[in-house]
Amino acid sequence: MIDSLPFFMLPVAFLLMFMGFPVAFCMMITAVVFGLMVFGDRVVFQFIEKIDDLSSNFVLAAVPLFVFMGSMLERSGIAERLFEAIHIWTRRLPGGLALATVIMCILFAASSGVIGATESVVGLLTIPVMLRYGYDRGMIAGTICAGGSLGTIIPPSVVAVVLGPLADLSVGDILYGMAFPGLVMAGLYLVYIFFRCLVSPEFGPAIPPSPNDPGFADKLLITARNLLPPVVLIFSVLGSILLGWASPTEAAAIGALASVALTMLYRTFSVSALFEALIKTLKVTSMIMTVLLAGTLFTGVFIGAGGINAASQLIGHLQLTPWTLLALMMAIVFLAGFFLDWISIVLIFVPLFTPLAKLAGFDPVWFCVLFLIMIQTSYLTPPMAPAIFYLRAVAPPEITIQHMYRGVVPFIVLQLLTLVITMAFPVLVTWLPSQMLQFR
Amino acid sequence: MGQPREELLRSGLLVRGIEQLSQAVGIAGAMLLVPLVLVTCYEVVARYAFGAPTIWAYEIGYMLTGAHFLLGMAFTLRAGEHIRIDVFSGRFSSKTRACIDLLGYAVVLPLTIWVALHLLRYFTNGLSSGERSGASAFNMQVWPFRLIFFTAFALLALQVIAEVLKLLGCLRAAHTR
Repeated sequence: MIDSLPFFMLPVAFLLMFMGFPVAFCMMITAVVFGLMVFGDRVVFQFIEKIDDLSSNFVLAAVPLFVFMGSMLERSGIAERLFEAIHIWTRRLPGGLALATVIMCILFAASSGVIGATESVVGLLTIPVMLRYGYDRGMIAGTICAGGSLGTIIPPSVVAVVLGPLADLSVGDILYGMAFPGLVMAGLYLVYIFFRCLVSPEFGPAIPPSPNDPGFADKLLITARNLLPPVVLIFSVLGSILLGWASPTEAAAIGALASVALTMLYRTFSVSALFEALIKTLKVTSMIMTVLLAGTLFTGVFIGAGGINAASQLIGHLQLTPWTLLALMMAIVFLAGFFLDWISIVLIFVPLFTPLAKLAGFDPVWFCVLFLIMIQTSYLTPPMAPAIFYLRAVAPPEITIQHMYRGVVPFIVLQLLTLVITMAFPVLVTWLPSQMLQFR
Repeated sequence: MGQPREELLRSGLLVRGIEQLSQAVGIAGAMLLVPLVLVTCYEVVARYAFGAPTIWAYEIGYMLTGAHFLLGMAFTLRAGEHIRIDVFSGRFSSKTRACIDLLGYAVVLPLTIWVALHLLRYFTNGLSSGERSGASAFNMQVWPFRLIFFTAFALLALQVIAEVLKLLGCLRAAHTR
């Protein structure tokens, strides 16, 4: 009987969470109640140890630093410049505005580690333009939601920073591992938008040439002025992680400093903007870290009470083949994404699934990358769809919730396709880390 | 019926006092990001440009990271930014939601106080024994960081009290109307 006790932790935590009480507190309550039942009041010493461990984990410094870097860049007016520079090259293509939007999202994703503010900035900027040129509203909604949530699959990613310690893996390995699958996903978005608009131009008509179009030299000048500085910033941060020159935390600190320098270069710096970015960073970081803290208390009790052993025994009894097990785990994450946000999914399922995947003989880094790809769907699947919430906050009334629900479907399919491609070609994940090992 | 009014006024003052404290500590925590950035960047420069990594950057760095989010917990609760799953509860009446929150806080409050009291002992133990971190050659005293743990959880407990008082006020206002 005592063996099955940890299994009740999950339904109890879910019940509390679905009542709408803050996720962090629900996990804390569950951890304490079950901890008292299993270990008595000495469980408090386990809690104190976990608080000390988590607070002393320097890898997690990358969380506030990447959040800050992104929120500084979002306030800097760089979005307008990027859009202008990208759009002059894509405007004559079918769906050119949507393509420019996704490319801008990729660049933003490579400069920040969270979703949300990026989507709002990109949405505010590009939705009115796309509406003016008669783009299909579902197409607009899907592009903004899917593009805006690329932030966590393209490195750097706060989700990867949180996931690494939970799965007992190096954050750097996960960041290398996710680079190609992330680009595959973004690439699929671009290919889909291009061909969809080529086949049915009413989705996103190409803009006819006009005498006011800038010449080639002008285009190069605008690109050099608007695109080059942020791109140099992004690649110096990513590059120094990928080449092993700096740890993710150090690269994040350099990126944070450089993002402030960039706003000074573009003369958008102000003390009040800096202060706002700092306060925003604190709230986002505290939210993430409090859930993480509560989650480690939760899994500490779960593992201590024998939950992982019991789970692997149960899986052993079911006699699943490794691939069936993998499919089952991915299906659970997919379904959880309809109701839970990313941080709850990561905290509940990563510590539970990663050991099982390892036992089944899968490469844990590859497994975590699959997990990250699956989390992308959770942003788009209603009713709990953060990407749609952010879009609703910035979309004009012509774009209804029906447009949004319809618009995200093709992109969810593309995300699942990315999952299948990464499953079929694990080399996408393993190639880069192996190359980097030779460098080091 | 002057008495309940006076009580309400007093609890209003208490709520405001707690919230100002949460905010002040939260803003102080938010500012810690600035030294975190500078220290970490300096470490990189020291390693590559001066060829001499510091012995203190690592320990200062993780303490600033920990202090940053810990001191922000109460402020984030006050701002209502701790994430909730409102897929289902969005359909509940505001009164039902207030009751759920009250029940939840009724468990969270003793829990936070319990942890805070143990963290206080953890801090005084560290202070009296002069224990050091042993995390690097810098080998900091452990008590300053443990004082932050205690402060963060004590402040979180206070902010939970403020949240409870606010919810009670809302429920009472709804009742008298």
